[in-house]
Amino acid sequence: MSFDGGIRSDGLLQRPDRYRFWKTASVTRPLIPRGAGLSYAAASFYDNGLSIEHGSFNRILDFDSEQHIVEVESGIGLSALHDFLSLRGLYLPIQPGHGRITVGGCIAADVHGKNHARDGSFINQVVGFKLFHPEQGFIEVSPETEPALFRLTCGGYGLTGHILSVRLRARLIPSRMIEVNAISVENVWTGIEHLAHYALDSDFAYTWHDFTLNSSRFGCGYLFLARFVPESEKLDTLLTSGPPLPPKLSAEIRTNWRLPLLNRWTIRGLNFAYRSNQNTKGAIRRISLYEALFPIHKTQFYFKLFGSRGFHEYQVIIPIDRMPEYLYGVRDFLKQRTIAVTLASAKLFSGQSELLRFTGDGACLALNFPRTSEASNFLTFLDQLVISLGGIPNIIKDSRLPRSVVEACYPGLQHFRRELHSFDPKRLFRSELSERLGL
Amino acid sequence: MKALVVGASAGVGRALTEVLAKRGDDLLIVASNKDDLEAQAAHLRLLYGVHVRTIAADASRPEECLQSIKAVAKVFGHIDEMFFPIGSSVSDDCGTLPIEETQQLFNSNLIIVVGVIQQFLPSLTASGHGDIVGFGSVAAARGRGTNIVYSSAKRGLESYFESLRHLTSRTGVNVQFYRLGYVGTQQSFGHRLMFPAVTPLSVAKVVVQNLGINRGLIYYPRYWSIIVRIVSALPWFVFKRLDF
Repeated sequence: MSFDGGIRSDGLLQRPDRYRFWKTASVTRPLIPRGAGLSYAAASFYDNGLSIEHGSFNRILDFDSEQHIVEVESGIGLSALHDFLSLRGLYLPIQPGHGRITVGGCIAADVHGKNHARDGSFINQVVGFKLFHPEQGFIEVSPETEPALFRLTCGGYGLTGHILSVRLRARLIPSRMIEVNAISVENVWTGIEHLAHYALDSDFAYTWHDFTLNSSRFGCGYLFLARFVPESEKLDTLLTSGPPLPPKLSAEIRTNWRLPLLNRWTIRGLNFAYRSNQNTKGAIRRISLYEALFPIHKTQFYFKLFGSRGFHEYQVIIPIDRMPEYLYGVRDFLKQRTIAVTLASAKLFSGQSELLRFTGDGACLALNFPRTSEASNFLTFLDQLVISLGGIPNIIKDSRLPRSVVEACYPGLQHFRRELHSFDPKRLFRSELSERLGL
Repeated sequence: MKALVVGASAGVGRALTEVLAKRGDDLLIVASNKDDLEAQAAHLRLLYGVHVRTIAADASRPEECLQSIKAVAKVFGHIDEMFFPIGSSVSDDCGTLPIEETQQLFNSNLIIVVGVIQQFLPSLTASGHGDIVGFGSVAAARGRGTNIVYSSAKRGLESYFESLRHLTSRTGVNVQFYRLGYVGTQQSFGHRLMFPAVTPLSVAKVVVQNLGINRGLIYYPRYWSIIVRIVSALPWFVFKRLDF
C-alpha cells in the first residue's frame, strides 16, 4: 500500500540479507527495489511484481574523516546515519523529515531537505554509488564515470536497478543546536513573500499556514527561520543525540487507526491549538539538530488521524511571480467546498528542472487533505491550475498524479524515457508509478 | 575479550557480532561469503572501534574451513568466547536427499562446530575461563517428516554440547546451548508461523546477557519450553497426525 493509502497491490516481497543474492537471483517477473516503503506514491511495488527490500543492507562501510565522505549500504536509515555522523561532528544538510527513510529511497526520489534554495536536492551530496542491474551487472556510478546514468538514477524512482552502496559527502555541524525563529504572518501571500526574502540567509526555512480561515487572513501562520547557534555546554549535553531508534512508521501502521478524524471542524480546532502552542513557546526557541532534521518523529500520529481511507498530498513548485494566482485559485476553490486542508507548508526552491527530478525556481507549496470524493475534484482543479501556471507537481508525493499532467509539466519526461529504455531495453524494473506514467 | 563467531554474515550471527562489538570485544568472524563479512567487519570497526578479522570459508567443507580458522586464529590471539550461530537447511529435506547434500548438511550444522571446538578447547580449558555457545532449534525437539537431516544434525549437536558441558564442568569453561524458537531471519521470512518470530538482535542480546550463567540448555523465547514439552509428551497416535 502506498503511504497515502491511494494504491494497494498484490505482489511479492523479498528481503535478502546476503550479497550472494545479487549474483544468484533470477528475473522471473518485474522487479523494483524497496527502501522503507514510506513513499506517498507507489514507487516500490507493482501488481504481481517483486519488490526487493534493502533493509538488511544497512551498514556503514567506510568513512573518510578528512574529505567528510561516508560510504553506506543503501538500506541504512537516515537516523542511524545521522547518529554515526553527528558523533564525528558531521551531518547531511539535505534529508527528509523521518529518520526511517533510507538513503536508497532518498536517491531514488531525489528528495529535498529543509532549504532547497540554498542546498538543492539529495543528488548534491551524492559522490557516487554502486548499482546492480541483472543484465548490466555491477556498475560504479559517479558524475565523473557515468554522468548520464548518475543523473538518471538520482530521481529515477528505482527504475535503473538496485543501489547497493552509496558515497555521500557530509558537512561539518556548526553547532548541535538550532535556534528557530517563528515569525507570525497574517496570510499566505505575506508568508511566501517573506520566505523568498529570508530563506537564503537561514539554515532551515519553511512556512506553516492555516487554510481554514477566509478572506484576508487566508493562510495566516508562521514563517520558521532556523539557524545554527553557538552552543552552551549545558544545552549541548541535553540536545546532542536523539532517541536510539526513530519511531516505527509504515503504511500499515498508519492505517491501524481506521476512523478518520480530520475534517473541516476538527482541523479548525487543531490549527487553533497549533497557533496557541506556537504563541506559548514564544517566537524564538532552541531545539536539537536531531529534532530539526526529523520533526515527523514527534508528529507522526497526524498521519493516523486520516484513518484507513488515507490522504492526499499535493506538492508543487510554482514560479514566485505566479504564486499569487495559484493561491487565489486555491482559496476561491476552497471557499465553495467542504475540503479540509490539514496542512499547508511552503519552502523556497531553486534549480533547473531536469528529467523527472522535482526541482525548479519558485516556491514549493505542500497541501494535505483527507481522501474524500470531493478531494478528487480539487485535485483535478489543482492539476489544471499547475499546468496553466507553469508549475511542477511532485511525482513521489501524489499516488494518483495522471500521466497527462506529468507530460505537461516535466519537459524532461521524454528524455527520461529514452535514457531509461536505452539503459534497460527489457525494462526489468517496474512499479505502479512507472506504469502509470508510461515510463 | 576476544570472540569467535562462526556463521556471522546474517541473522543471529550478524546480530551477535554487533552486540559483542558494542561491548568492546575483538572479533574473529567466519562465514561463507567474503562480501558479507567485509561489510560487517567494516561496519563494526567504524562504529565500535574494535579489531575484527574475517575468514571466508565454506562450512560444508569442514577440513578446509578449519584450516583457514586455525591460520587466522594464530595471528588473532587467544580466543575467550566461541559462538556457533551457524545453520543450514534445504527446502527438499524430506527423506530423499542425495548423499552429497546430506553430508553437506551434517558438515554445516554439526561437524564444523565440533571440529572448531575441539581445536580450541585445550587452550580454553588451560586458561581456566571462557564460553562456548551453540545454537539449535525447537524443530529438532521431536523428529518430523520435514527438515529431517537438518533436525538430526541439530539433535546431534545438542547431544555434543551436553557432553561438552559435562567434560568442561570443572575447567571454568561455561557451555550453553540455545533451543531457538522462530527467529525473524531469511529462513522464516514469508512463512506463516504459528507463533511470533523474535528478532535476531533480541536473541543476541539475551545470549550475551546470559554468558557465564550456569545453564546448559536455554529456550528462547522461553515459552517454547512449554510447547516443546507438550509436543514431546504427545502420544504417537496423535503426533503422527500433526502436520507442522
